[in-house]
This record gives sequence, structure tokens and C-alpha cells, in this order.
Amino acid sequence: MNLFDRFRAKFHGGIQPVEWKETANCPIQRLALSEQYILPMKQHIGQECVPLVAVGDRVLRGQKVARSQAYVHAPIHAPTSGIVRKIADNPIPHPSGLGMLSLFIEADGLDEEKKMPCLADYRNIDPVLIREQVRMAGITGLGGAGFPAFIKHRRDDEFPVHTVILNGVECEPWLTNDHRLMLEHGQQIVEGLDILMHVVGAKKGIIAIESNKPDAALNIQQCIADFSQDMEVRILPTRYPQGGEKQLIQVVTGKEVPAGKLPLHIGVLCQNIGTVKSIYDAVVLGKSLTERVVTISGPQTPRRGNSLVRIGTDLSFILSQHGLTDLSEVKVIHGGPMMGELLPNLHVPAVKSTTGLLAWHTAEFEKSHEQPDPCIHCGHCVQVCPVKLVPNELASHCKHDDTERAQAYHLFDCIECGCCSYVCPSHIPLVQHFRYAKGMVAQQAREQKFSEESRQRSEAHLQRIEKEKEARAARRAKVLAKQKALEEK
Amino acid sequence: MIVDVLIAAVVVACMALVIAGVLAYASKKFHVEGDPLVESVNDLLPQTQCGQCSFPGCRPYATAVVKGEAEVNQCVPGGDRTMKKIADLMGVEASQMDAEDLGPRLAVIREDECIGCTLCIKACPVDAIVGAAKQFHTVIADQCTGCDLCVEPCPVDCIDMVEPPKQLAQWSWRAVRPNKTRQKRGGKVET
Ligand code: SF4
Ligand code: SF4
Ligand code: SF4
Repeated sequence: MNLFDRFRAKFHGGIQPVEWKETANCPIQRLALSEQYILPMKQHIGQECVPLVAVGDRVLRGQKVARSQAYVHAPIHAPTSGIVRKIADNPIPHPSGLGMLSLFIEADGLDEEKKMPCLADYRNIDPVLIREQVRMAGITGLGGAGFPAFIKHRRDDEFPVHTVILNGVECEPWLTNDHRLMLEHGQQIVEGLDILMHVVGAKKGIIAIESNKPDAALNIQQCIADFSQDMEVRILPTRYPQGGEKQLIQVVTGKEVPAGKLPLHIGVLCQNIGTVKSIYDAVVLGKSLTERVVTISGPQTPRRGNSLVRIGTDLSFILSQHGLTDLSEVKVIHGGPMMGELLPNLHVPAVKSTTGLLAWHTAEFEKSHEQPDPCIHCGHCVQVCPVKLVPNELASHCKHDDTERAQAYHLFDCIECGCCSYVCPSHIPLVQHFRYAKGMVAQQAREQKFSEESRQRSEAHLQRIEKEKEARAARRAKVLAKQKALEEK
Repeated sequence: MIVDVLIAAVVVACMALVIAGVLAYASKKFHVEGDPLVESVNDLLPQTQCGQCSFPGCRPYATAVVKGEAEVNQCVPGGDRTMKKIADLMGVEASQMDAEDLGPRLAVIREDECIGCTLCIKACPVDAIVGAAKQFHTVIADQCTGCDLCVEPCPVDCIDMVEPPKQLAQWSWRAVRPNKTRQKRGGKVET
């Protein structure tokens, strides 16, 4: 990196949390097959899927078992061969502990696979077909957000994409799955980048890696050297939350994605490392998304490491494979420690967005929580906020349920990165206030909509009654008139 | 001199005529049904149509509030938030709510006991019950406002008011409560 780069590479705020990336030395290991897999019908942002199979059907690994009619969705595939045993509601890895319709597949141990056609010669294939293959493979953003990947792969004449950025930042503490992928599957990742560049017609590919992963950067650099002239590795100073899409794009291109706009609008496509590896698997090998790398770590996990996990595997099974069998005194976070969520129930399946499972002892976990004190207006939170909010002001509006003012303070620009909570000397759970307020705004909108609909229904009801009354009165008048006529005769 | 005055008077009279015509036309053409203030108050109400305000529905209550015949704190399902908004709109002091709202409710018909008398259909203010005479009836859960009005008329008491089932799409984070909330460095919150 030259001096110029060093000055350019910066986004506002950010922190440097302790890394805890000890699993970076643990090679990815394939997890043993489990007996049962549970597939929730929505593992992506968008419309919920509906099952395509019935109870009793035999399915093969990679077979599409659920999809939706909506544009924004990702189909779901069976993770192994077996029989569909049940279609019922089941909890998902979510802080609420609530669930949704899920498919229960009993594995038959044969692990027979059904593949899509391989498009190995992708450079000579129509980008539209490749995009369709990525869509059919059910690939979502594996960095945690879960946005269906194919949607971003559109060639748009109005906003042509000139640069594809691969997000190898992995700035969350503890997580190392992208790191391991870059070390062990560098070649596939570089080819995946080439596929993306072909699909969107980009001239340039950049793989962004933080300076705490020099081995990964070196490996990717070597892979690029004998592959393409149009790619480069960009080593970035280590800083959280650099892996946020907008933060990363700003650091790499020097351009800010305007609020309310997409990376596409400044000619950039940004995709996570794990996602690109699955795109390679789908396009070159014809494999649907049925497995992903998960970091299993945290102080309470005896054998920490990275596992290649089939989607739908029970989390308690995964933890037990890593030596954690007694789950009575542990708290597990789904995702990274900064943005992940505490799970109230561990008998839930791994989903496409499961990046990590981090286990703490309950007592330890509670000790590291502290009672909040009043805000001392030190301004630390303002300094670290990557989207330049004023978290202390914002939180006080949220606390008083003043959603209007909170929105005027750009509540919805908050990316919930947790930097403000991390640095607050008064231990105020700032992000929690923001999550609550966002939920409240959504709920108020739902209530508003419902009351508007109820008003219309009630008005229709009253009108109908009015009409019925009139009709009855008219009928009666008619009868009376007839009677009168008869009497007169 | 006199002529000048006359001309001026005639011109002004003509203008007045034209403007009167335009105004008359406009008032016909842009006529708003009802009192706009009533509409604004009605828009703030939750439209549960439950009658807990002692009026036969939300619009009658809104009308009464605007006429000054009702207090602003009578809508129970609307709660504090709605009361404050109405008070704000009417320019009166916000006051205390009389009764506590039980939270959202949903009517459920025990279908095997239903005799198909259609009395509940007639009672429902938002037409959220379906069914025909002598056949069992059922409540459209997505449209039920939880107003309770169908329970009373049922001759065999087969309608229950229940808490609506929790749904993922409707879930949101709880408020941060001091003392009960503990926070780890890194934003993990456990309540
Ligand atoms: S960091 Fe905490 S104490 Fe300091 S201003 Fe922000 S909220 Fe207040
Ligand atoms: S959680 Fe939101 S307010 Fe806090 S630092 Fe991150 S973006 Fe800013
Ligand atoms: S109490 Fe509220 S919701 Fe019920 S009818 Fe009266 S105004 Fe409508």
C-alpha cells in the first residue's frame, strides 16, 4: 500500500475491538451427517417460500424443495438425500424464539446428489443464463444479511457496473470462516470473482482484505497472479465495521454511496467471500446452496474451529460435534458478537445466514453485562458512529418513545453495528434502544394500515346496512300500496 | 366625474359577479362530505369499532369529541398515544386514561358448537365473520379488530376472545428497561 492509499482508505468512526480470531488456524472440517434436517421456508430477505414436496416424498441433495412466486426470494434445496417426514411450524434461529413453516427431512445416509448443468466455460456463456443459474441455486448473501444474490447481478444500461468488490474483510471478532475460505479455496474465489465480472460486465475486480489476515491476502495474490490482470488485492487497515457494504465501498473506491441509494448507482457490485465461493460451486460445479462454513467458537466451546455445515443441521448437534454437549449453562450468539443475536433456544436449524455460533458460560456472559449509568455526554459514541449519527441524542428520543424525532435524527440510517454501545463508558445499550424504536415505527405503520382497512370495512358495513334498510322500506311501501289498491277496489 | 364613478361601480359589480360565480361553482365541485375536523379525529382512532367509548363506533365518537360532547380520553383501545394526539389536534389538555387496554384481542368461534344462527355476523362492525345460515361460522383473523361485539349476541356462547398468536413478522425488540436490562460490551443485550 502506498502513502496515497493510506490517506484515502478511511470511513468515519469505527473501533478496534479485541479480535479473538484464534480459529483462524483451524482448517475447515466437514461436519458429520446428521439424522434429520429442518429447512425453514424463509432464509432470505423477501417472500417466504412454499414447499414443492409432500410428506413421504424422497428428495435428493440439491433438489429444489421450496420456492416462491415472488421476484425477491431464494429457493431452498434439500441438504442431503432422504424422506420428507413432516411439514410443520418450527422455531428458527432468531432472538424471539418464534418459528415458521419448515420441512423436516430424515436423512437416509446415502447422500445422493442431483446437480444442475455445469457452466464451466462461463466466459462464453450468456450472462443472463449464469444469473439464472445463481438464482436457481438459491444463493443469498452469506455474510449474514441474506439478500438473494442474483438480484444484484443485473446488467443495467443506466448504471453499468465497472468494479466488483469482494468483501474479505470479516471485521467481526471471533469469526474466521471467510478467512479460512480465502486460505483454502483461493482459486475458486478468484474464479468466482471472474464469473461475477463477466455477469455484470465489470472491467475491474478488487478483493478487499484487512491487514490482520496477511496469509489470506498472500494466497489470493498468488492465485490472481496466474489468472487475471484485471484483479487486485487491496489490503485495508483493520477497523470495525469495515465489512459493512457502504463502509467498504467508501474505503475501496473513495466514493460514498448516497443514503437511500444502492452500490449499483455508483457502478459497484459488492459480494461477500462465502457467497462468491457458492457462486463458483453453482456455476462451475452445478451445485445448489446446501452447505456453508460456520465458525464455532466462544470461550465455552471445547473444540473451536470452522465446520462445513449442511443447511438445516440442528445447532445443538453442531455444538456437540465441537465438544459442547451440556447446553444448560451456556448462552449462544448466532453470528458475530457485535451484530449477532442471542439465541433463546438451541434446538433450531442452521440457516443460510448462520456465520458463526459463539458460546459463553451464562455466568460469564452476565458478568460482562453491566448496569447502565446516565449519559455523561462524553461524545465517544458520536466519534465512532460510522454513519455520523448522534447516538446519545437519538437514544434519548427512542427512550421517550418519540419516534418522530428519532426519525428526524436518522434512526433508519443506523446500521446497528454496535460501535456506540461498545465505547460508551456508561454502558448504555444504545443499539438496543435503536432496535426497539425501529420495531416500534414498523408496528405503528402496521397499526395505521390495519385501522385504515378497518375504517373502510366498517364504512362498507354501515353502507350495506343502510341499503338493506332502504330496500326493506321500499318493499314495505310497495306491499302497502298494493293493499291500499285492493281495499279501494 | 359621475361617469367615472359609475364605470368603477359597474366594473366592481361585474368582478363581484364573476367571482361569486366561480366561488359557487368551486364550493359545489370541491364540496367535502362531513366536517373535516371530524375526519381528522376519526383518522387518529384505531377503528376497532368496539363502543367502549360509549358511542356506537369510532366516527360517532369523533363527532362527539369535535362537538365537545365527549372527553378526549374515552377511546380505550387507542390508549395514551391516541389520547395525546387527539388532545393535540383539539387544542385541549391531555388527561389520564380511565380504563386500561387489554392489548390486542382476537375472536375465535368454537366451530363444532356453532349453530349457524348468523347473529354474530350481524354484530360484527367490520364484516370479519363468514358463514351462512345453519352452517358453522368462522372469524377472518386478519380482519378481526377484537371489538368483542360478537360475543354477547351468541346464544350458545361459542365465541372466545383470545390473545392473537405471536407471529414472527409482527415481532419487534422490547424496550430497554433500566435495572432489568444488562448489557455486555459489544451491544449484546439480554432482557
Ligand atoms: S458514549 Fe455513552 S456516555 Fe458518552 S455521550 Fe455517548 S451515550 Fe453518553
Ligand atoms: S449502532 Fe447505529 S448509532 Fe451506533 S455507532 Fe453503529 S450506526 Fe452509529
Ligand atoms: S373506544 Fe375507540 S376504538 Fe372503540 S369505538 Fe370508541 S373510538 Fe372506536
